[in-house]
Amino acid sequence: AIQSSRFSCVGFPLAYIFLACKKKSMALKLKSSDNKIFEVEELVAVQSETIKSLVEDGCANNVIPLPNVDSKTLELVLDWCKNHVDVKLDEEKLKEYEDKFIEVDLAVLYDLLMAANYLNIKDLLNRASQKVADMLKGKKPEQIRETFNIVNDFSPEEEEEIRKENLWAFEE
Amino acid sequence: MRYIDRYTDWLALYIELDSNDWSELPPEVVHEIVNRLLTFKDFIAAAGVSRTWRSVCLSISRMPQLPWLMLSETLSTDMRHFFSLCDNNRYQLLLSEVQGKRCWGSPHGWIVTLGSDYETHLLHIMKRVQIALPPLNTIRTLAATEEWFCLVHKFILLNDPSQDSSLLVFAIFGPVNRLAFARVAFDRGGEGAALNRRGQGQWAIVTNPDILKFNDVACFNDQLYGLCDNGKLVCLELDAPMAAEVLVIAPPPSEEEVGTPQNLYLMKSSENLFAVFHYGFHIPSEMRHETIYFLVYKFNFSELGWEEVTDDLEDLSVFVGGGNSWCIPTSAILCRSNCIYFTDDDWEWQRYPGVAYGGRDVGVFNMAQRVIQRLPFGEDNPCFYSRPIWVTPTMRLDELYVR
Repeated sequence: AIQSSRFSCVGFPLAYIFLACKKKSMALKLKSSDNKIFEVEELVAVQSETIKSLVEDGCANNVIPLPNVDSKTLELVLDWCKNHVDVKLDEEKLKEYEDKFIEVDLAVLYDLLMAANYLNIKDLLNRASQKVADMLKGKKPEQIRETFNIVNDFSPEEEEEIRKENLWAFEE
Repeated sequence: MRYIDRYTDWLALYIELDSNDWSELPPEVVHEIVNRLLTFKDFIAAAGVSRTWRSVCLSISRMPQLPWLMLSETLSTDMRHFFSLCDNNRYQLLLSEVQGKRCWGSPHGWIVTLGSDYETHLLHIMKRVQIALPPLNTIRTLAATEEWFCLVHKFILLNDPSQDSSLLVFAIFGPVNRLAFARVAFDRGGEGAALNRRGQGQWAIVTNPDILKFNDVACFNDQLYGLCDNGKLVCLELDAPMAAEVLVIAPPPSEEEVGTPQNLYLMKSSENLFAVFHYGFHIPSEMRHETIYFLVYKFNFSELGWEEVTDDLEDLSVFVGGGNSWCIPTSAILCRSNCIYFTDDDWEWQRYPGVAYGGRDVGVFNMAQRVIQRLPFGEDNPCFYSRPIWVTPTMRLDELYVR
């Protein structure tokens, strides 16, 4: 209380916000692109470096809008974050959780990648990227394009160069 | 409130993307993905997906990769066989440029070729780009009696520490293992030639008044080192005033310790300079030799002496044989560490032209258990000039092994 009054003398708005956060052990409100509000513990949410820097800058005392993440994806992402708060969690169990978590269809995987990148959640981005990398194994360029529905935007000359690069005779 | 406004604006800058359009995957995410591809084959396939993917693949410098074993020449075909340590698969590449030539490998995607016409080239095995190396005249006059394939014992490709985007090519040649070097500039057809440096457009011979026998050369912390005789470490000053010079900086380990090794190799890791001593014996009746074990020494720069590394190379794997000697950290790429991968590099008995002797002594030595295992690369038929070598495939011509 003494400290708080000292800060109020300074009259710096950031200090207010900071102390307010501290006191309540803060639940943050996140708003998805489809306008759903998620109330989450600060400890869970700040695994996103993007949200963490908002909190640190004192900009998180209201609803945090996340216009790039829909509610379905945000729910998944927050579930991931909840399960990664407790660092003491048994490693085997965590791996089990992660493996199960990432067993999703391509549309969801894409959303997770984009959300992990935008929210800057390193371990989720790593896991999702690894999942995609595993799916690329042994595929040819055209098979990758087909699987992920990626547009071939090469010119015919570039295409020829790529064809040459991939002229691998594979022996059994 | 103004903070919130600012961030709302900032967040809104990210355009909402059409869900599930993988073409729109941002480059930084593509980077995360392709950097996790372990085999070169998968990496090169990813580089052929779209323009975004390609530019990401071409821009990243991959973590050190496992090399391929380039197998001996197969007669009557332009295809060359490669064995990938990553997935234990064999691949074939169209590589007619190497027909009838002896080759030396490197971790840079390039090999050096030497033909019976005494012409030498650098060849990028993926891009099939060839660069002619200077004529071997100076070298040939100093080693006139050697067969063409035994004229040069070893070519070594290093980054030139004194010049950006250029390569130093070392040649250890002749009956007394002398050293020569040439400089190859990559930028716009050798514009740097204007500098007229020693070794540009010609092979410069390193002066060697003590008749040191060179075994290998490596570059560590921008300084060039040579390993001579039975483990003597020397410094190389290529741009010394009169001629390229050598300066002995440390004696070999004691003779009781190292005896008489068959081959010696020098290499650097990110932190250390290593000397690898190779021991084996000949089996004349079977016209081959066989590796028994290796000794590894680490150079102590404060005491200027070699220290034996008894059983632990930490997370390194070593590659030695015909060409560069190098090691890579293995923790990141899921492969056996604390191992020495070797190919047959003993040409001593290869003195009868047309007679194949050796080339089959290829395997991996486990430092901890001190045992040798064979590699499952399948059929291979070495001939008198062609044997298996290590080479790491790269996508870019200038993707040198900088660490």
